[in-house]
Amino acid sequence: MAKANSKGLLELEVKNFGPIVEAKVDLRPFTLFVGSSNTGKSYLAVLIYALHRIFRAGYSRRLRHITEDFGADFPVIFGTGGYQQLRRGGKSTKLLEENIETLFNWIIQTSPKGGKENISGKSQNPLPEKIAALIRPSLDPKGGSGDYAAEEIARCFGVDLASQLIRIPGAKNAKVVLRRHVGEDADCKEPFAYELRLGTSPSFIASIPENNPLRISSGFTDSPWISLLSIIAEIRKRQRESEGLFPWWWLSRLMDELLEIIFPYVVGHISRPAHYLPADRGGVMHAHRTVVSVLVEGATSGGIRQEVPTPMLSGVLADFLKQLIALDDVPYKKRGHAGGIALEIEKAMLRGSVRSDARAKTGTSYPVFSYLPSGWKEDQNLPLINVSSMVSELAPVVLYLRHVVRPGDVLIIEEPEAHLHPAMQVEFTRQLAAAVRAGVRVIATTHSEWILEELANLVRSSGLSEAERKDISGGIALESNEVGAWLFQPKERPKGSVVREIPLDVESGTFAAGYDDVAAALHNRWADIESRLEARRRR
Amino acid sequence: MSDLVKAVRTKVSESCCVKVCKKEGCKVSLPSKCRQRVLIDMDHRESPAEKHGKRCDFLFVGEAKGEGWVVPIELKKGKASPSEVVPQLQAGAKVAEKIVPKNAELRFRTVVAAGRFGKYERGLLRKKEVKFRGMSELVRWIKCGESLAKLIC
Repeated sequence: MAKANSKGLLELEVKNFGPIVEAKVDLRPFTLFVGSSNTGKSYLAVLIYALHRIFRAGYSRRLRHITEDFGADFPVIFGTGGYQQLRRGGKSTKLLEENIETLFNWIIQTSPKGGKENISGKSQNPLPEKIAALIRPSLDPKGGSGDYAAEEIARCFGVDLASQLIRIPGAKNAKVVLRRHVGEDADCKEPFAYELRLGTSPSFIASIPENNPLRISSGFTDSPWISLLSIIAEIRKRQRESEGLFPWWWLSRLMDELLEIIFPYVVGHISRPAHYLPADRGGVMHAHRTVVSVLVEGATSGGIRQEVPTPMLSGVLADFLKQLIALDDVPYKKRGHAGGIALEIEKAMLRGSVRSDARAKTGTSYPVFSYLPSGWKEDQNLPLINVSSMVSELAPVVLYLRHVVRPGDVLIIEEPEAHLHPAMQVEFTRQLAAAVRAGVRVIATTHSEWILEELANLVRSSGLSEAERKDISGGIALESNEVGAWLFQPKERPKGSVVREIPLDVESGTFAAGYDDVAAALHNRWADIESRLEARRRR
Repeated sequence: MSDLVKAVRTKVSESCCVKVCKKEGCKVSLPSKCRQRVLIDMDHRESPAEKHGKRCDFLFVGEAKGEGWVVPIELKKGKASPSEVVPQLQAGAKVAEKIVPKNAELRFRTVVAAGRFGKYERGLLRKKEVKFRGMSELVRWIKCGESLAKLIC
């Protein structure tokens, strides 16, 4: 649970959702969900994915069109549209001009010179209060956005209505609250919060404390500033050229851009893209060609073929398939920044490389994936259907890290241990930790004791200097506040599951996830068998 | 009181017989089915354990449904090491051999209640036996906070 001084933490509170009675988790750079089956680990993971999409799609029409396909009818939830905010704050033209001048000055003073300077220090400059007061209403979800959020959640889960996801029996609505604890400043005691209620009439409301200053998210470096500065230059140029006529459209763009860099400060990394690798990713990789070719053929002959009912996929699975199809849409070198880790996984675990052959090369309407073992000739690629389950399991991880995932993005991976030998589970944990070190956030659901133990090692290693740990776990370490392990446990009354954090137990060297109970039961059964065999020998 | 429990009580000082099985932050509850019972605190100065040698934490002797039970118990709050606990339980078994009537039909168990065993320790635990009257028994394992009823009575 978030503490008062947990600066920058994003806390997610969930009530009566799926099997979950109550959960309050901090979303840390490496977050693990552990616990018995059917306790809601994947439910929470899918919900987090849906929230990423809602917050990302909802605040920037421009951003979602250029980066992801959110569907044409998904509305902009946040923001009221450009200069209207400045106008509202300026009852007279003079005040409006003052506001604009204040905003321009702040942007010019805060921006890194030439877009090259590190702004980490300057990012602490709060937005002038009279501008912040005008921006705050844009951070509230618009009316009706509860319905859109509920629809997106339902889509991600593959159900018709989000109300089907409310815990039964007994609960009438489910509650999802995101709280962003932004600082230790005296003037920032209250977190920013967004509350979504799922029920017969969904609602989505925000709590944006008036005394919380608004700042720029420290994740930004140059590009938004270049854009803001160039818009200011454009506005001034047009003002000069048009002799007093103000270029409102450009001011509107400036406000949109500004919201885009303020919003991530308010909601944290939930505004970043999330990528979901479902538990059945290995099977999907095997079936990918068949499924995709049927879909593509079907789509292109829609008008002439008989209508057949299409089975529904969950949104996470559909998005996964869509992402695979889109993998070669953007030139290789322009995508992904975790390619080094992908390469490391190929070297250390796969002993070969995962190939994504572009449509042009394969003559298909979609990329085709294959595996080339180390030392084999270039044309000896194996189709994924003929490779080991470990390769099919890790192939999408490699492809995502190589082509899609960028620092700051969230990679949600269900059961990373699937089809992996314990030694490989340990190695994979290290690679995921390396991804975290590279700025990728990881959320994983797991049943693996090996993963928890290696994670414990990685956290414990942070107590050593880089030189001291260089031959341990590949020199990678994670600070304890970067890792959160959350245990999902069944509860009798009310029926469902609850979630609590499990700290690293230094004495036992792991996160105690209850696997000991299974180990003890197995051991005691072994002892019983031995005891009876001994009795038989004595007879 | 059953004959077995009565006989054991005559061999030990009343002051080392306790009702709660708890030591250094680890506790196990006693099985309700074994109502006839005695729990000996082996660390007590008047206990029958060797004063300067190895010893387990408790020795449980009880009876349920006409069946006698002798159970040396070792409690470890955190991680337990078989190479440490097995000799302690063996010492408890030796004490039991002295104080339990020789003609009594008994079931013997050794129990370690611990926070955790590592994977390596679990392997060792399967190899190390405790001997009692010529019988060999592997050590059973429960977690602190659990009940002995999982294993006996």
